[in-house]
Amino acid sequence: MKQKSGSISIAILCSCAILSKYLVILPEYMVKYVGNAAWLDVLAKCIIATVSLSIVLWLYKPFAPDSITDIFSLAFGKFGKAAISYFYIITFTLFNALLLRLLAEALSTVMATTAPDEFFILFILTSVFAAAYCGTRATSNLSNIIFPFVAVTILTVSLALFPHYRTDNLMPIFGESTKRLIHGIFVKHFGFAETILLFFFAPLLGSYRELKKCSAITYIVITLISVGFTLAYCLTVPYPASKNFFLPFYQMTRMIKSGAFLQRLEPIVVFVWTAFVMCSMSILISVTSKLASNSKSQIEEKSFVPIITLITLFTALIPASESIAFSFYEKLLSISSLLFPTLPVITFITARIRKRRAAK
Amino acid sequence: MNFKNLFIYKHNSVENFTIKNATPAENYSVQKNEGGPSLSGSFRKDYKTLSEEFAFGKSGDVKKREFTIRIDESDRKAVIFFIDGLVNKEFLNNFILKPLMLKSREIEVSSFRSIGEILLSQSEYKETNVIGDLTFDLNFGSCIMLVDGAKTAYSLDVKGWQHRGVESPQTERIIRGPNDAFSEQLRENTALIRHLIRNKSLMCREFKVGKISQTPVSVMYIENVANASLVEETLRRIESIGVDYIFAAAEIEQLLEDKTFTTIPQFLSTERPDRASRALLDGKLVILVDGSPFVLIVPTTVFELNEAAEDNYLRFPYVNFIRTIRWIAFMLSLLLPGLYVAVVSFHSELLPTGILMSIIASREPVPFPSLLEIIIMEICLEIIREASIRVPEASGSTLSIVGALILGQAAVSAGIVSPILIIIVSITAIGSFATPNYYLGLSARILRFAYIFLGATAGFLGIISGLFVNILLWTNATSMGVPMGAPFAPMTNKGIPSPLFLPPIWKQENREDYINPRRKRRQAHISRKWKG
Repeated sequence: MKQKSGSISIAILCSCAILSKYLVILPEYMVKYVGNAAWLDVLAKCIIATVSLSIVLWLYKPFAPDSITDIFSLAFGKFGKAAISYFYIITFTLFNALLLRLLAEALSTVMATTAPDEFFILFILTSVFAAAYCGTRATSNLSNIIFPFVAVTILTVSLALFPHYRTDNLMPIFGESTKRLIHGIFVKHFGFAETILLFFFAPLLGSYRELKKCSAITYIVITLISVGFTLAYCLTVPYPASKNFFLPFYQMTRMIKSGAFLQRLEPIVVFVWTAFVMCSMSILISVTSKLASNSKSQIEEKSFVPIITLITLFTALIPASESIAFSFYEKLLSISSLLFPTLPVITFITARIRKRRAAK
Repeated sequence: MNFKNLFIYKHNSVENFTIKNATPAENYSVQKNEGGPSLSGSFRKDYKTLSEEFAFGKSGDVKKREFTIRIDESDRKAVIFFIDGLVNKEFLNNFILKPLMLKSREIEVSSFRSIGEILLSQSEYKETNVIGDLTFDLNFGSCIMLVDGAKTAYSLDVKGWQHRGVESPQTERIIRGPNDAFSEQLRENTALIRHLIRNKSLMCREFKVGKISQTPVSVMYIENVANASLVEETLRRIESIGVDYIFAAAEIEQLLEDKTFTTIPQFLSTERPDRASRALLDGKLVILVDGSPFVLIVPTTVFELNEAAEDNYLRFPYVNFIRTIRWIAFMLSLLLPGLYVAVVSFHSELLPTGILMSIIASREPVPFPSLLEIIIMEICLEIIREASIRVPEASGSTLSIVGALILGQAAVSAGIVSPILIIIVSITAIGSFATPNYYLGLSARILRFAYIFLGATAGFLGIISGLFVNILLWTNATSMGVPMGAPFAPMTNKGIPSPLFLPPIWKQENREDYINPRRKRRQAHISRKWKG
């Protein structure tokens, strides 16, 4: 068997992690900054992320196919490696915890129940824990199955909304929002934060060539889905009023009325997306456990999964309200969007210099 | 576990044969009757030993016949042991006893060697001193002959017990295609396969499983197609089975499967020689157990479990249509009751007002919550299904009338269940009947209850969480080391998903790559050469 299959699986894993986060921030970002120029924003973001990733990949080339954690060690020594690993562990866990909290709140709204958020959090986390505990390969298998359903759902929703598309919704593109967009691109959105996962999974791919292929697939998938979805949303909805997590899906699916029986599809779509987010959370818990165990043994890695899951659970319960959780999530995303690609760049440059000095 | 290969499907690493060097359990290491006590060479002593070993006198069906043979111009005492009912007596009389008793006096028999060379016309006979071998052969329809002065005993194949012949399949009926089915006879079953694959590379490895039952088990594979590691692993697992007895393929399946605590069947069982042969030609292995009309195909995948035998005989548009219907039926049988509970309890906004009002009105007289209502109905359905298998054929129609009356009319009239629920349960039952694999259907029947509870607890979130874990467990399962989610999870090299969309027969150029067969190509790149 050739190694091609590995690159597709990892591309799907990374796409899951990146896309599930993207939707969380979309309504908020549209309301606050770019409005219906969001599709342009995401397109620009994809292009910039691709360019920045190409640079990072080029810097990584001499170390392929080593894991980024090994390169941390080479660049900053054992202490530095531990510090950076803890940084990633904390950031990934925080991301997961906040996402979990936001997802629970959103689901509570969709289901209109009086059940507390803790109920949803526990329900989601149980499944996420099961996947993470089964290991990275199991999570990869799972995302291979779930990802096509999500893609098909998005495509179906976008196609079904075709009669509601209004190009007027995209205009005017040269206004205040575009100005903010350009500002935002350079200040905040250097790239997608979870791109870093590619370098954690690099040893699984075996070669630099495979990593390049995997990165290309990941970015093509992300660009197609995120730009396509945002464009469909912008074409359909004149201007979003709420910052709710599931707003885009909710608004879009409510417009699909194909006969009396298909007038309310939003719960179905929302829960398909929930499965997708659960996949992304399992991936992050898997990676975090791997980082925490600092070992290639799956047994050692597994022993960290319950601990990380429990930390995620308690962290998710800390914010007093959804809005606090969201504002923190937004800040975390801003920092990580800048730090996640910057840190590897610094690491690779330092490691290159050290390597060169050692060779001399 | 090599972390490097987590995502890269490589046969040797992903098969994960972790117990390769495990030794068979204590007391159960003797699977083959090689070695063990032997005959002494003294006729009187061996006669006594074999009489005791064969339980002659204790077991009413063990018979013996004493006679004399003329060898080298002197009469020699001889005795034949056999089990009444297992041997063909006509054959024994005409082709064993007659030549030995009469012909030995007509022609000159100079040595014991000539017994086999001149007197016995058996295609299969062997000379051995190992008592264990002789006991096994006696219990497997051979007669055992001892001759005074001979250094070894003779085991003569005269099998002839009553058995069912080759009949039509009971569980895998098809409209177009062959209609032979395996029977309980191991040798007949291997012959049925060999009749379809006339190739010298078709191998048949024989084992005896069960310390007491000594059940013959055969493993068939095509040497230059099947992956050597897969063959080695299957043989190793069979050899290491330490049980007192097995009688059916279903038992050996449980002893060989990778994961016990999962609902998904890890082997594909079939009663059709054509299906088994096709699997062999695709690089898989077939395990046959004497006494079982079902054979096991290893490895298999989740997608193959929902394939039917007829899929190979239909043109590709029909197959793809039917496969899609089958998957819908399976999903309905798995999820529909749970979805119903979820919609009624949490997501009633999904339904148009008209339908919602009609459901509410129909549920008005029902005193139970929807969860209890559907649980009652599902349990009733399971009872009827179980009863219909056990009930004598003559009472079958009574059962269906009673079932239909109780479950249908009476329950609704009494206000115990709502009419909409009858529709839900009926669709679920029909959906499960459309699932071709019995074990997969059973799996759906069990999991359905879990989905009902999940739907009642957390609506669609519960269903999604259940599906999430379900897919996780199913894709994480392996069949003889091969991932059951292949070719999607993990994605294998081909990428073109034949399990969901079967291309035209001339485009099916390659064998499934997740088992890494030795011969990748199934046919020439251009198989229809007449097209130019």
